[in-house]
Amino acid sequence: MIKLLLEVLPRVIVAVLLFNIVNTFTSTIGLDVLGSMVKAPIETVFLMASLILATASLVYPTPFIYVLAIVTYSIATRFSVSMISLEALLSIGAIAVADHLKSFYRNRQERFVEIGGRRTIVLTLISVTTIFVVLIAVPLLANAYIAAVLPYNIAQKTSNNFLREIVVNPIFVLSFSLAIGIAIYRATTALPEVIAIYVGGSREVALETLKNRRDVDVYIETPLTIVKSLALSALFTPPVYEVVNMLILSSWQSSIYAYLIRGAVATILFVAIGYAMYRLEKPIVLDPKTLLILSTVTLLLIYVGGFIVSYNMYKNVLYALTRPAIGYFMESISNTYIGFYSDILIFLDGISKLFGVAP
Amino acid sequence: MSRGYTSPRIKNLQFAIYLGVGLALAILSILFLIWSVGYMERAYVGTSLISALIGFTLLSASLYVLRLSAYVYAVEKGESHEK
Repeated sequence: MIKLLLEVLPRVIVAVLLFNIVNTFTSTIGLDVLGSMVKAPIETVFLMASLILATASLVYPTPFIYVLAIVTYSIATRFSVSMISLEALLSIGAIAVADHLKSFYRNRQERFVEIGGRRTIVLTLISVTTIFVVLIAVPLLANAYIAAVLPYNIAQKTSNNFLREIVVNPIFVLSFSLAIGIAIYRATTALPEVIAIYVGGSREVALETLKNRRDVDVYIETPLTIVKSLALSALFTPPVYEVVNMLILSSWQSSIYAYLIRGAVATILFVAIGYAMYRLEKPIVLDPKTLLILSTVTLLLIYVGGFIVSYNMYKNVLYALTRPAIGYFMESISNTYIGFYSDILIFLDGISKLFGVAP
Repeated sequence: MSRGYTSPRIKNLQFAIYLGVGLALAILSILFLIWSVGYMERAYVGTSLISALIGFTLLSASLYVLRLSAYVYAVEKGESHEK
């Protein structure tokens, strides 16, 4: 009897979703599938995928397929028919419970259940309520936070055009929502683990976990080493290029070949330092003492640079020590970087135009 | 601490230190996340996104410290199963 209920109930819930999907299908697409594919390709594809998934979940009512059907349906209707709602969350909960119970339920098992007293009933009610409250509250909280942070209404107020293009872009919105969703998921799964260890922790397991060093001393072999060496070289080459410029090339600054020579030197330096970074990758990575020393040295260099600029302007040591002109110093550094990149880009662009690569 | 000796007064409350740090980090992270919403309402997009990033980093740090405090508590006050 209960086995029958556990089979029928999820399929009834899926049938409701299927009814909604078929309604939307007939009202938006009708029989003109190809025409709507031309007009609105994303919605049509997602609607058809949700139809297929809903039919599949009618046959196998697992929570996973059902959630996929709901998600594709919401994307297809652009969240206007809001299935990200209380009924969707409750239905997912009901299907998950039914699917879980089906796996260990044996026939007529309910006749052997003895309910022991008031305390058991209260504890059961508390645990079931907690589960459903968390199931509903966490996605709603994530939804509210993402809706509050994402700048839909702000896009008109932003004066920076470039920023507005990035922020309104659907890919940015999607990746941002995904990142926040994953972070909230990790937070909510870590919290019950903490509470469980507090309530019923065993001494040996805890000691073993605390003494386990293999989780801490992990060396991660990153696959994109070449890309990383290129990025590091892009960071470190401009100062070297500036030094080389000042020492060697100053005599050729005003000649007619200045752009070509500077650009060629810039490219050669970039490739050389990139190769050096590729070779030097292992000793630099993941050593906390090295990172600490490097960051402290960089901060000190910035301070000393600001001090020197300030001393040149004011000629007073004490004044320069307390007011290092970091703004001017950083401006000259950024001019170095901008000069390097403009040289390298003019050179590459000119070469490609010379050989007819770029129109 | 390197001699493996902790004074009896602190010994039973070691988990409270981790718990305090974890809760402080959690409160800070919630502050940063709420400030992020406020910044976005005033159209400071970059400030809002970076304070959201700071909030989530602090959140993951606080969860790690809370997990550590749970393990320390289990080591001190947990039931021993060996016989």
